[in-house]
Amino acid sequence: MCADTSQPLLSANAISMYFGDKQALHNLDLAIDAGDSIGLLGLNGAGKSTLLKVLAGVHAPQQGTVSIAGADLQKQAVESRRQLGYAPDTPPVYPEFRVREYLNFAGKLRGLKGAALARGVTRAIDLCKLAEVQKRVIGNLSHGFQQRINLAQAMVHEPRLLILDEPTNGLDPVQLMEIRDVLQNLEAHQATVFSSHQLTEVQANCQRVVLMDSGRKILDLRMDQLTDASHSTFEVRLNQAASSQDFQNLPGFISACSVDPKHWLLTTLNRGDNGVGFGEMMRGRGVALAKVTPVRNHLETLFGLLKLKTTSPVGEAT
Amino acid sequence: MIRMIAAHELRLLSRSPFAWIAAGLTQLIFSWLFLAAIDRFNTVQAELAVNAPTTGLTAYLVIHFLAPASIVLMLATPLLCMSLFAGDAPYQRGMWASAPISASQIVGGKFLGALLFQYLLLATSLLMVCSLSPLINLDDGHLLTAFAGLAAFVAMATALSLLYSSLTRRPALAAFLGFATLLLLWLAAAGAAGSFTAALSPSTHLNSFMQGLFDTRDALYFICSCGVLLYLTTLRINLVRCSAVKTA
Repeated sequence: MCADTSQPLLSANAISMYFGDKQALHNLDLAIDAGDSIGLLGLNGAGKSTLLKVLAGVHAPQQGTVSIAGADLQKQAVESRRQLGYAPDTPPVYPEFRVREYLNFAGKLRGLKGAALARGVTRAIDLCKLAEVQKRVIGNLSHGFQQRINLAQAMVHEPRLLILDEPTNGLDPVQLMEIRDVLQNLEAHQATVFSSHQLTEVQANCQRVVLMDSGRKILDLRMDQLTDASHSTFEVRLNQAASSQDFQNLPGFISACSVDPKHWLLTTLNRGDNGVGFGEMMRGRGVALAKVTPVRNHLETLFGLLKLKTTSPVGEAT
Repeated sequence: MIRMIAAHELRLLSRSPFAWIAAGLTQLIFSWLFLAAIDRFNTVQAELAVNAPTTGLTAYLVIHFLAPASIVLMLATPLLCMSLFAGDAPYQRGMWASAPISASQIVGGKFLGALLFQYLLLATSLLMVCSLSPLINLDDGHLLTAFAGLAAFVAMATALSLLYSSLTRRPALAAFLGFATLLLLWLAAAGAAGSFTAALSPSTHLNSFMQGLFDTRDALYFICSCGVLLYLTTLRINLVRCSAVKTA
């Protein structure tokens, strides 16, 4: 299968989703390239699982489109789904099946046959370290093994895009490391997007982080922008509302993401100061600054800020 | 793909205690009906020879065993099929929805799997009747036509139950609605012969088969009703896939 590099592997445009009168996703855009690994972060109810279900074709959005390798998820349902593997947040519920038997079924469901099926199942068993339990009944296995089976069924057909909903949920530290190994051993052309509450997992496994709140994407940044020593990040509170355009002309500006229109996180080239110089520079440029605080651990700070809960449409990383 | 999904459903049914209980009870009732019919035939044989000389054992078995068996199947089918869609856990729904298969393949596979399981039940009742053949001459044509009618009726009942199972997430509700609809349709035959309601009733069309008559109109009725019901189920599954429909 040849990868088309001219377009993103997954492209979600202006996705909106409602459950009754509750809007679960707000006009959300997301592009995933081959080889990307994206961590989806957010508090409970932020819309992470809903977004993953939309990307996996489990739910269709009321507005917007999702395409995988150029094939529309709704209009070209079969072709588009060949490219994806989806592991929901609940481990397999065919407890009466044996592990290998279940993976065989998952492979057949994804169109594998004969030697390709046997190869795919064996590869998934090896990758997810299931060899010792492959003949055992799923219902008798621990939660950790069931999570690994969940992961194995999603990757049995070597999809180009793996969508994993909280794959590390409820695992002990050893199991966490094993799942991390699995994710890090994926092929270079495979993209993964997974949701998690564990910041360390996202930091360890992802090149990109997408932060969600109340069904909105409030941050989409490459991990190196968060950790790169050449960058400085400041939590900025303003006396009046601003938009991301207001910061574009700041020297060394890289990105801005808003918690609310008066509360921003700005990333610039490393200034080597504790925020005092940055604050003075902003005031000098007419920004109505109330307070500026340097951010040490960007991801944790961002996650903490979500507790403040945004009430109005928020800005975007630029 | 349809064959693979059918095999999967068959495997699930064969491992489901509830399916075995339903199948066991059905077999028990079939056996009782069969033995009671044979026993009663022995009692009334002389009387029949005088009053209805054309009624042999075959016709007697059809009236007193296969016709009541169709009522039993009318209850058993919705129970056996209620979980086909409604019983899917969120994980299973996610797996089906994210797999590169069409809605018609899913519907076709589940229909075929459930149908095969019920045909196994039907096959055992056929075996009961066949067990008499070394002892007595049975009208094979009449029996086969009656069994074909029963098979067609089970297919229609399965398609209807599948549709209800796709409309709700509560298996019990799906079973109740399936049984209630089949019963209403069955009772519709009570209308004047040739009326629209009588024509809608599976009972009207099954009767011809039970009499040993193969009428293409009756066969078409069952084929068309299966086709329409499966088409509606496919539409429903597509609708769930193409919009965020939340079922009851």
